[in-house]
Amino acid sequence: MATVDGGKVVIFGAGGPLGAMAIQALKGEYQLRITDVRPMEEISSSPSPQGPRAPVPELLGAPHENRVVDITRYDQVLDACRGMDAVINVSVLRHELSRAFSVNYVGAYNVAKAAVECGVKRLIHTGPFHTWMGHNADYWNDFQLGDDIPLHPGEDLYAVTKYLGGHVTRVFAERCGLEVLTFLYCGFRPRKIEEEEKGKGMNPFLISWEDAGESLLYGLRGPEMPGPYEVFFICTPSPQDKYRVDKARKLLGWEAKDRFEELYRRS
Amino acid sequence: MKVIVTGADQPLGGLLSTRLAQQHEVVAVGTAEKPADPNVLDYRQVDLCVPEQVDPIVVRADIAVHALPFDPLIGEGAQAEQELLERVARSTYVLITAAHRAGYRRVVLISQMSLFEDYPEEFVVGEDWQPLPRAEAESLAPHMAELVGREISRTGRIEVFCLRFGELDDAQGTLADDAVAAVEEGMGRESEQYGYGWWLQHAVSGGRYMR
Repeated sequence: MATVDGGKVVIFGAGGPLGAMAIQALKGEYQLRITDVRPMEEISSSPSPQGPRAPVPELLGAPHENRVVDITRYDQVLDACRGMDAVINVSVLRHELSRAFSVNYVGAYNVAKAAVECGVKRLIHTGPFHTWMGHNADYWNDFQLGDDIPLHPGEDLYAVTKYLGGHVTRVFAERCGLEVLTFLYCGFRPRKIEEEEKGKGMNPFLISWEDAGESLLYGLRGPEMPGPYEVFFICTPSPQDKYRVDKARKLLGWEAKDRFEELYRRS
Repeated sequence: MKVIVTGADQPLGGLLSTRLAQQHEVVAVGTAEKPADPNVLDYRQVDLCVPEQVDPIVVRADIAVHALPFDPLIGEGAQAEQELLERVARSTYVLITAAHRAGYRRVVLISQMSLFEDYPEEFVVGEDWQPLPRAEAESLAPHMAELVGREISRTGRIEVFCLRFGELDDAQGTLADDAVAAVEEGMGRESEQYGYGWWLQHAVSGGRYMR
């Protein structure tokens, strides 16, 4: 049984906004090893590079642990996975050629390999679902899309490298008995809707930072999955009906709380 | 045609560089100081992962044969696997996107039949079978190169013709003459009539994958 109800969880890339919300959601349930390429002390005392409304990670003390880990270095990743029950990889590098390949793709390889070597029960891998890629196979004109559709990243650096990272974890899942849940995200926003945002419309693949963090808790607690590699859209139901959200509800018992009706309803 | 051949410091790239030069103008590139075959005439030491080094080479030709994913050299040291994975996927990305920017119609990508070796031997494996890479860098690397090529070609902006070879110059794999002939055919073939940008072909001379 790969369910991880308690115990120790390592988070890679914890310094970003999604990592911040993962820490928030998991800190009371698990003993966390919080890792990033930069010291967490430095990250938690600085504003988010993603803007003033993006969450910044809280700096936790014992029994949790903060550690500097370069995900591109296998020895560091392996050491960080030792003694863990589960692994969450929310690391990402979007626009720099060298680091995008080494973090999004090779980093995924390192995490999956180390998880197998350490006998970790469950890996939650994360990546983007790009709703628009500028080519005919990007699903931009489609509706009722399911979580398991193959991604078509085109030639976008961020999308391609994350796509490769996803395939690497799939191979480890299918070949090595590692249970991998891949969570796909697109747009994030704060739970709170400002007055000037009301009635201005809504991204059809949207999630609040708060719900995104909580989805990871459900990912750890979820029962054994039907297959070794399962992909989930992590977004709130929207009336546009472009993206189905029922798989996470069925398999993980999770659904978004924030529905953002004020964004798409005229008041 | 004016052809770039990558991986010219390895056996397949060296072979293709010399043999294709009998009919075409070839620029052979590799990461080593010297080509695998001393008969290669125009050899350049290029880091294919660096666009600033690739762009000036790409504009000298009108088609590329990306042989590097077939027999990439794995290095030494604690990060050898990681470097291999990155070099093969990133070079494929950099080369194909540079070729697209330079107006190429097509890139020929060479991958490995070994992606199918874990199917039972009695199965008649063809191009419509899912590759089964192992959870090892040397097996994943050519598969990831294929995925990069396939996905970029899906944009409709450039064609990628992917050839999978068995062990080079082995009667149970892909003989040298057959490898060269398959690449020549891939370079010269008309575009696929239904507009697909990605084609696959298993090019073997004998053995379990022969049909």
